[in-house]
Amino acid sequence: MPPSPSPRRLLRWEVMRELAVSDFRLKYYDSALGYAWSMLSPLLMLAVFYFVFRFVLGVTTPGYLVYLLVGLVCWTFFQDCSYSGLTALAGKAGVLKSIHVPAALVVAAGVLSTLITLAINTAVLVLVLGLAGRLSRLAPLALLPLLCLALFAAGTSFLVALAGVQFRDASLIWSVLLQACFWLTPVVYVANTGPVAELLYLNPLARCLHLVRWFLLYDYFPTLRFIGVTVAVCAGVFALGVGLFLRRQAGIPEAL
Amino acid sequence: MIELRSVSKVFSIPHQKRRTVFDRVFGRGHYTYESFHALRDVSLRLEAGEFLGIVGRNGGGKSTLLRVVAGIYPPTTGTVRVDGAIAPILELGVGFNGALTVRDNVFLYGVLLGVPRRRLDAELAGILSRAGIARFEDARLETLSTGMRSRLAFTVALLAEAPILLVDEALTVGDEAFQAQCLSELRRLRDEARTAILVSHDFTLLRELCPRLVLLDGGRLIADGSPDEVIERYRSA
Repeated sequence: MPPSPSPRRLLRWEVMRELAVSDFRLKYYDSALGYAWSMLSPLLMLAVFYFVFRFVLGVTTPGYLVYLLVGLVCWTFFQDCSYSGLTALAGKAGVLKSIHVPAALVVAAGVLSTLITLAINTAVLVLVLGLAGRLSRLAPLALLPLLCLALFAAGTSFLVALAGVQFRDASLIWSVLLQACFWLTPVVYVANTGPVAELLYLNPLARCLHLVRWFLLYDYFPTLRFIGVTVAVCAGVFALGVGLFLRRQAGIPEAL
Repeated sequence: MIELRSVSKVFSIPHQKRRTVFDRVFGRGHYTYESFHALRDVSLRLEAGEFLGIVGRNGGGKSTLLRVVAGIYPPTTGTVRVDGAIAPILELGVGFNGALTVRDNVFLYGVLLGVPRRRLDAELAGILSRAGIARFEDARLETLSTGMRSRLAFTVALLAEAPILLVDEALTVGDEAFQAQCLSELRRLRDEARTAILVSHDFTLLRELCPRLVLLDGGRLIADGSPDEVIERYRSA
């Protein structure tokens, strides 16, 4: 039998879970389509980008549609997850000011709630790819870069949450940075070779997306070094975000 | 036991609420701060099993003191020592969300106050019937009246078995019957030898529950003694 967790730890987990689940419920509360929205928004983006890239810009890459679909599912997660850091603390200001709950739990709950969405969307994606016969043999390995993506997004979420407490214009700046991030990541365009691709490798998000697609769609196994660096960078960003946040969280309730 | 040793809490309030990145980069040193001393050199010792009432005018530092004891605000100087877990009822029903069902709110509020989820699950029916809303389990909280919501919050808050309670004006809501119920619950907790700090403007309630009061004014603790002494001091100040 594994040792049962201490009551304190169990409670922290329970607080985080309740916050995440209620957050998830509230997101789709009163919307006509409910949860389907979370799948519909990447699908609508898919339609727009496919139209523009395929017919306006004339991209002829084979399998561009699934390439785009995988990219958008990952990107939507990163966007929602990092943005939740900005809104989570402000939304729970009342709680943080009257109950001694670590602020990190509130941010973590926001991350968890977007992770639920990612998990469901990925399951649907894999199902669709499987039915279409487009799933590669290496597909199960895609869990690793998805985990890296989650670590990177969570770390970013903590950093953005800290900035949001300190600076009023953090949300404006973050929406611009997100735009930049979107175009500096091969979400909608294809960049596999050449110096530009090498440059994009500096972006951890680009590395994650490459790995997810290689494993999920292209049956391609890159060098272990590429995988190792990606894991290390994503884990590093996660540690940095959580570490900085924990060092500063005592002052957060009064700053809200 | 709760012990505060020369605790001060200073908030630095920028004249504009929060600075922006823009100002940080282009307007360094542009900012002026106002130092607000919410607590000045407060020392206080409370034994286990004691019920302490805090009185004072608005802005006197009462809520800040509770937050410092609860560990929500770190003190600027001085030390705070608290032996035992704390169940703060600073604001009844904080964290409630009208769009969620009554059941979901019980779980959310309960775990926030430190009640294990399993226990909430097991006692849900009892909680709802004690709060007088037995049939509303699946109703959205927003469909309940304010009084019903306060009763629910109070019932859940009482489940927190922490030995130390911090109560901030929680009992000024609800009808007469609800207030009587709150009073009798608090009396029961006192007889169980729990420790509590109550902030209130209701002197009748404080006389009833607390053998000792302190008076906070301008962040200073200016009186500490029996209810009669302290209330007289408050009125004459």
